[in-house]
Amino acid sequence: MEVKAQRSVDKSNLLYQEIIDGLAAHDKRVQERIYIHYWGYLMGVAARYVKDRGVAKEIVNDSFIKAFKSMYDFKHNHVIEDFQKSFKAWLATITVRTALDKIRKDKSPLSFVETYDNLRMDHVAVDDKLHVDDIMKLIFQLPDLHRTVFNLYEIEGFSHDEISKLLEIPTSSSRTYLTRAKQKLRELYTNTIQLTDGNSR
Amino acid sequence: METPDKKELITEMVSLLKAYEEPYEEGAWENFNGVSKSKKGTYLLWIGIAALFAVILSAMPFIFDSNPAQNTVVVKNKPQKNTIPSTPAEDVIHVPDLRRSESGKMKRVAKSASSKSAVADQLLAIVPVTPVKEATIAVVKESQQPVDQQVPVERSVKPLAEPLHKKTFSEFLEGETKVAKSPQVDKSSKWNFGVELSPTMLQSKVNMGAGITTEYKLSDKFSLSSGISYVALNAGQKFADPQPVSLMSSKKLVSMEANIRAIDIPVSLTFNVNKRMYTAIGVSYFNVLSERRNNNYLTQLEVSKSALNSSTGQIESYQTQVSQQNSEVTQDIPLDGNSYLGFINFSIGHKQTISKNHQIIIEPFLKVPVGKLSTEDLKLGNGGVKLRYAF
Repeated sequence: MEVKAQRSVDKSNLLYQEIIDGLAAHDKRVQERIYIHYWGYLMGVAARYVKDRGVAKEIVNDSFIKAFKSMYDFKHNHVIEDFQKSFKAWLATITVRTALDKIRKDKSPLSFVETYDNLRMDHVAVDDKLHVDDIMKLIFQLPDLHRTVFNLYEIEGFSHDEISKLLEIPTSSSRTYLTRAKQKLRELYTNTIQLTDGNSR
Repeated sequence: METPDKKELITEMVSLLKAYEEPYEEGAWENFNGVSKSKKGTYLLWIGIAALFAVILSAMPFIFDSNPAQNTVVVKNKPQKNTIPSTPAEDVIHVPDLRRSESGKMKRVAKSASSKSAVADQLLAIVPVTPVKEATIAVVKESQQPVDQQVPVERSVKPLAEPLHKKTFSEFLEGETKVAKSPQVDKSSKWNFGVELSPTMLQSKVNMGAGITTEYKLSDKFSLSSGISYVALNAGQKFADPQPVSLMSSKKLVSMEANIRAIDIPVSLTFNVNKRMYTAIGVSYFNVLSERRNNNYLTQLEVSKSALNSSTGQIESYQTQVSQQNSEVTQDIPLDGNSYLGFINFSIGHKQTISKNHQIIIEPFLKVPVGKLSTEDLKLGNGGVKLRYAF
């Protein structure tokens, strides 16, 4: 098992080294490597912002076009582990910005609803194993703006200040939407569990 | 109530989403590459069209350049045409014109003997020396006189001028007519346009190309030609000694095929050996619109097979090698979307005139790749026969 894991690490290191070399040499062929390697990850990012898979693919492709233009100037310290993290984060940021632009273009501004129950749930424990598909379903039940703030803050790691600039909303609103998004997710999850339990009985 | 191993919902959601990656969808890159290349292709096509317009526009000054020269000659001639004294009645009307136009010109002759005026020079050349001097002096004097005194003086000038000019102008006009006609002849022969079809042989494969051409005659012997053509090349490369793709793999690259579509803009200098034969040498700007490459691999696998041994009645397994040939579309398309000063062209042409301005040209040619194109794995050097219809 250990040998297998070691081999996979070596293989991925080889790929990152190839990408680093390709970028340094301004080799166009590295684009394909990058596209195939990161496509799935960026699709995961885009799918959190838009429900439609076709639109998500469009966002990913647009992001790659942007990335391919400027990636040859990507600054890094030539340490594979660091490059791996920073390059991935850089691509994710491009995808997030492209997704936000797309949403803005299609329907601006992001719509939101205020009709929330005054349920205060600060802690909900996960009973069963969570699946990404189920999480996606829950996330897309949130109002657009709440979902976007939740994604940006919790998953992408943007600060409230950055979010306020990105979405052109006050910082206080960003905080509020985040709290509400979390509350709503807990509420939705609890409801789903209760519903499943009820059905199973 | 809550066991310590149970995670909080949001924390668990976040960690799952952060790590989430969708499986790669086969063909996503090909679609992406196709879309981005087609955008690029359209862009390059427009560049090609723009280049064509540039060639045509650059030809415009040459075409229009000959027209003003012609017009100038005609305008200069007009007063002279009116001054032809054909009947005595006409003389009365035309002489003042003649006198004015001539006096103007004569004055210049009198002032500067080296005047470059075509009419004055011709007059000087044709008219005998002594009468011209008299006429010149008389006309110059007249022009200095007041207008109301012109009519009586005209009569005195008329008999002197008439016998002189009768011969001079008829000859002069004949000469001018020839001069006026000659630029038109030049114009029609200097520019030559055509359409061409070029079947090309490239490593035993026949490819087709088509385009439009233009030719500008620099002199009787030399002309400059250009054009734009669309070419589709199917090039292949076989490896005599196939090497494994990687150390661990039994896959060997046996041969490679490429399908290239490009815009070719040649510029060449043509030397006309005689009226029918010519040779040309030039270079080609080669803009690759699309490229598709197939790699053919030969895979040798060691497989264990089992068979029933009829003599012993037992199933025996044995090792055998299976060769499998497969073709893969490669993503490595280094030429795609790029432009090169790609070829040096050599050709010999034979012109067959079918009517005054129409010709059929058969032109065997050879294209030798240079620069980046020559360093490619593919052998892109090609030759063929161009069939051109020129008008």
